Amino acid sequence: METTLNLVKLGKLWDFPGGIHPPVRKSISTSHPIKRLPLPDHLYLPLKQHVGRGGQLLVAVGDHVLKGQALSSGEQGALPIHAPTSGKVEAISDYPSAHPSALPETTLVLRPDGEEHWCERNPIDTPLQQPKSVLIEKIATSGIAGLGGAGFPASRKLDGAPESLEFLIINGAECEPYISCDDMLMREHAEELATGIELLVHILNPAMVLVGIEDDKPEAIEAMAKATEGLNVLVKAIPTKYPSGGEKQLIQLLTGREVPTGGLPYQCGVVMHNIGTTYAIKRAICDGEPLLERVVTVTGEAVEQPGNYWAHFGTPVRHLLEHAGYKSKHGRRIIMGGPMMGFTLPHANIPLVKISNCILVPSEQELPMAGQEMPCIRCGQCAEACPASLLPQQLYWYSAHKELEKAREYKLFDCIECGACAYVCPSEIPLVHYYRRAKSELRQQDAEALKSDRAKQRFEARNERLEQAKLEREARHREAVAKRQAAVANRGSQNQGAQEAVAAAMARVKAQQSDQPPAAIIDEQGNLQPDNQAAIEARAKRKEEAAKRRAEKAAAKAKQMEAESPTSDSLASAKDPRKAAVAAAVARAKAKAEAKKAQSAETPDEETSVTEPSPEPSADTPDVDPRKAAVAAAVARAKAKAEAKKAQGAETPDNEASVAKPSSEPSADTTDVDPRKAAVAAAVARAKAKAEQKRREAAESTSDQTEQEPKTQPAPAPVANENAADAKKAAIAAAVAKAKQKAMERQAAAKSEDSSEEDA
Amino acid sequence: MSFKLAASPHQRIPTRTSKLMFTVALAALPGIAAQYWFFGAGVFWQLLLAIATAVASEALILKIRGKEIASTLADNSAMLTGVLLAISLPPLAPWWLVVIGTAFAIIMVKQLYGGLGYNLFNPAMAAYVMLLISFPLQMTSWHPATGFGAHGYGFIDAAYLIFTGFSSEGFSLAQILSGIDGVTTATPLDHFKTSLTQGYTSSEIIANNPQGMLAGIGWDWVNLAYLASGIYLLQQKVIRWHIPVGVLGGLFVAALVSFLLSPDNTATPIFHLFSGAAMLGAFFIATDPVSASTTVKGRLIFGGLIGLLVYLIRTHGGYPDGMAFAVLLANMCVPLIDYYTQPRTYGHSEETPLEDGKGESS
Amino acid sequence: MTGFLIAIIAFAALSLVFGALLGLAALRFKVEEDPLVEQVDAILPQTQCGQCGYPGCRPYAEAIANGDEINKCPPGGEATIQKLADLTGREAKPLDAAHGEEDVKKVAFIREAECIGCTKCIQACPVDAILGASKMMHTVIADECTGCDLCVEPCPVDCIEMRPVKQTTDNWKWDLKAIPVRVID
Repeated sequence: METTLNLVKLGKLWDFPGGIHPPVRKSISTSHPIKRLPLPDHLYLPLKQHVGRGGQLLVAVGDHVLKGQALSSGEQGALPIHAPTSGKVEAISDYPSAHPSALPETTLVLRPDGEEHWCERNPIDTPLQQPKSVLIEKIATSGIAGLGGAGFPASRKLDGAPESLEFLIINGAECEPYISCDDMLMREHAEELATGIELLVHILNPAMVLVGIEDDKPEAIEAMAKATEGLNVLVKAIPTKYPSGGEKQLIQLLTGREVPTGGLPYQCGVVMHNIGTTYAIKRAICDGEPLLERVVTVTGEAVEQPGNYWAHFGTPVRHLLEHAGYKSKHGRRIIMGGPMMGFTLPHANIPLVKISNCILVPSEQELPMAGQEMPCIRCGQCAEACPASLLPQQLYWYSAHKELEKAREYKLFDCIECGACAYVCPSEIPLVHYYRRAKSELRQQDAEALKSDRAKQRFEARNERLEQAKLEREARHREAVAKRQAAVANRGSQNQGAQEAVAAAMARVKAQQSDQPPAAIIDEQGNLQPDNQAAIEARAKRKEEAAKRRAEKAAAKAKQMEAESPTSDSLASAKDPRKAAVAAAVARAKAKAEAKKAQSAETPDEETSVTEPSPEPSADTPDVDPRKAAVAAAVARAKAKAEAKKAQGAETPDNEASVAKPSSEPSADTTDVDPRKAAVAAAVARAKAKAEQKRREAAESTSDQTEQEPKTQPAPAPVANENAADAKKAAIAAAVAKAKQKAMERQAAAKSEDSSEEDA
Repeated sequence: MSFKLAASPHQRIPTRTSKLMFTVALAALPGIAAQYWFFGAGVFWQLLLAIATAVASEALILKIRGKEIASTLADNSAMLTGVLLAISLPPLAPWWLVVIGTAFAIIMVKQLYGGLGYNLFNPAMAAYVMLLISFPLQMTSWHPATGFGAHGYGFIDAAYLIFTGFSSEGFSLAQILSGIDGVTTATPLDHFKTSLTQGYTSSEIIANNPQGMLAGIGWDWVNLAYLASGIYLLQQKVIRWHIPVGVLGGLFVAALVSFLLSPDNTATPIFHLFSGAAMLGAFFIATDPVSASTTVKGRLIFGGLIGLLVYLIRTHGGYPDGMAFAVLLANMCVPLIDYYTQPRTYGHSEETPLEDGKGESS
Repeated sequence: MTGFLIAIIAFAALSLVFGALLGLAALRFKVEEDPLVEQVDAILPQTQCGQCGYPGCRPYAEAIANGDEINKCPPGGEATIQKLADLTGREAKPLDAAHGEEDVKKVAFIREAECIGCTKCIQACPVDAILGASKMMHTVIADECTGCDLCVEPCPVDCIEMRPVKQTTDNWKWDLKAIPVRVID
């Protein structure tokens, strides 16, 4: 440890393996000082702008917010975001994110009022006298994430640092071609950066402070050296080589140490902060300004005024490009980030976020699109360029051939995705893209493995619980029996015998009641398996049906055509669009049912009998209150389902008639009762339906033909007296239709099974 | 307008596989010129024949495999295989030998393994070995190197000899091969070996024969030409130094050790370095990236192994030169070499092959 | 004759020695491994969906250990079949279509407005991923749902549907071609 410090003091620099020397092209954007952009019409502020989760919203749509006001709270690793300017929250909705996928994420849309009213700022006046926890807290509440690229919360880096830290490294390497935002920041704000470094030193108390700057930025080196005079800071010029600005590589360059795999820099005695982050920390603590804006490099041959801009977070890229003089003819790609690690944007309405350091709009000649991917010739140039000493071609081989575990063995997760391998590849293989895909695939596999482990645990816990319940129940039974026997033994007379019989019956009832809920599963199955036997059977049935369906496809089609003809009639008769929609839904359901029925090869007269009643619910749909409607719908569905079950059982006709009646009654009653009553009625209906169904199951089968008629009757009943149309109406009608359809399906399934059994 | 999406990095070096292949083929020109000078125009016709066959067989097999033909042919790899095989063959080998060899290299060794990038063995060398085993007479019929124009046949005559077996003046191939003076038909390496078995010491053999300054008339110049080309390729960063240094180093060290042990029975290390296919093999054949080792350390080992094998085959094997066999044998060792020579990855404590990486994530 | 005897004795002695050595080695270098059933069970996706025809993942694992086919698990799909093939040393067959097809990952969703609080789905759920009480609205814990769809069938009002897992920036798999490229200007 001492020796490393001494060596560093003596001016030793280490090297990292590999690396490349792409043309830097930074001078394009460094000719002017940093400019300030006018406010855009809208700011789009994603809740999540860094690694980790987004915070909890603190404002609502329509709120007026002040500049610097927190819009979300940061808890459990989340960082807050702040209003970059004063204005009104216009919307909170999903909006394309500044992510390679551009998938929508929760975004707050702010309309600036142009006033720039600040909220109350609370700068810390004497920061160097404050305990470090106060400063860290301030940094966290200011929403400061690493502005270098990854966006790791800055406060966490400070919090996790060990007491005796050796190195604080300020990363000014900025090795990616084109990007010059840190360079310009160092040139123009070296004094503030020096203050920021002082604050960091106060928090971390490191043995040595290093500022690493690539030697192609002489102005920045000079400015930083001048500003940090008198401080215990070493400004180190490092050779220009990509990716020297990578955290791991810069640590290796400056200290000769390596961050252990999967670890964090402080594990080798280093904490590193980016130039932009250091500046933001100074602003947060000394000026009380949370992180609202950053310097962005807008460059590339397709913009007329390339340069660096102070831009508020949430500024759409389009706004930036307009002010930089974007020549739409030339730019065929917009790259957020640098040419090595940046990602292309699908459109220019993506907002700028904390990690966006550069908007690059190259012309086609400047950065030609990759040509056709050719086979890997194992030339090994990638292995020589890799700064992590990986074997990129092996990783490519296993990633491309989906041997993901093999890729993991070849240390896929040590890849920093710098792109050096793909840069040198003569076969133009997008190597990094393969690695990213393999990584995300592996991460998902790991997550799924974890989930399946948890599912297994839960499954086993559940089984255990059910087993326990069963044992308890048996114990109670035994107890009851013992009690009865004891009673018999104690009291010999007739009277007592009768009492005892009553007591026994009571005990039985109690026992039965107490084990009602789990019994549903255990008693029916007779074992402790989850109740999926029925599902398995249903699947088997479906399978058979599918086989049958394939065989009769042609016939079914023809029938379907027939069945569709009445639907057009009902459509035509409906007048307002809502009704039409309902009618359409009903018609669809009907048609489907028809089709199903047709497939199960029935006689044509049955079909016609079904189609008749269905249009009714849609024609005079109810004007009930939502609750009532829901109840009615539920009742209808329950009924329909009961019917379906009944149909499956294939019962006698008189039984059916009796079912149809009682089930329609409660639903008719619901029109005028209060919700509670309605719920009761619904429950009664369900219970009845279920009872019926059980009875049916026990009953013997006789005829298939007659059951068709009553089945369709109950559906229209609950809605018979209503007239006006509203949203609920549609829902109910749809539910009715669905229920009916389901009933039909089941019936058809039952039929087809019957027939297939006969066939066999 | 819409914007294009692309995977990073968006910046790339301009060097392409096709250009690399072409540069290698182009770099062989000085060696080819030397061969032309010392062994006659045969090499020109062989080149023509081999390239044509290579491209035609590649196109044919691509068509059969249902792959795109034009873009694959444009990578120049088939052309390069043809060139390398053609310059390895005796200059007056009959045309069918070249055609069979080249077609075998492209169809069997390269495409049937999956095409460019998938072949385990160096196509040119696998074909060379196949020819050597199947047609030993034709494959060892090198005629003595002479000066330009002194072979007894001209540019057109060479074509006649290759395609018909007779020169335009009616001399048979055997007559031509026996040379103007009708004395020697062996290459220096061949000659050296046979002389040793006849009981001569190495210094006697060298003294008795009109050798060139390093390793025999013509051969030294051919090898020097390939050495120069190899250095050009290194300078152009088309090939890396590890394999050539490995091959030449291995050969040199092996030759030096045995020369120091028994100077009477072995040729000098310099003789070994500049005879036969040493330079051609070191810079053009062994550096074929597809069938070579991929790690830096592995390439040194791979090259050293080839050098050692070449020496062993030359001195103890049944064939005068062993470059082709050595390359193929080393090709077989590549997976093993690769496995045990993985570099230490950043952040990993020591050099451990794969097992260490198991179960690690992010 | 004696030569013959000597040969026989020598071979017997040798085989005895080597046998003893092998036996010793087997004891000395014994590798503790999970029984096959455990290993198979660890590979299966634990949806407990029963699509394989067995009442859960473990029964199917037992069946595989006893020689049943390895291609009956649609939720696991090709990846699981491949792993099972590697483990059991059997041939990796394509998924048996009779048990269903590999589908995008889905989780159950209860349309809460329609739920009547019957608890039937709660009883059907093999991993206790549905919350709710009698006559109260139920809801699915999406993180715990295995997508087995066993709750769909028992629902008396059909308010449960299987919804594909939403793609987010966290589970995005770098499919650049799937990004809709919007036309501007």
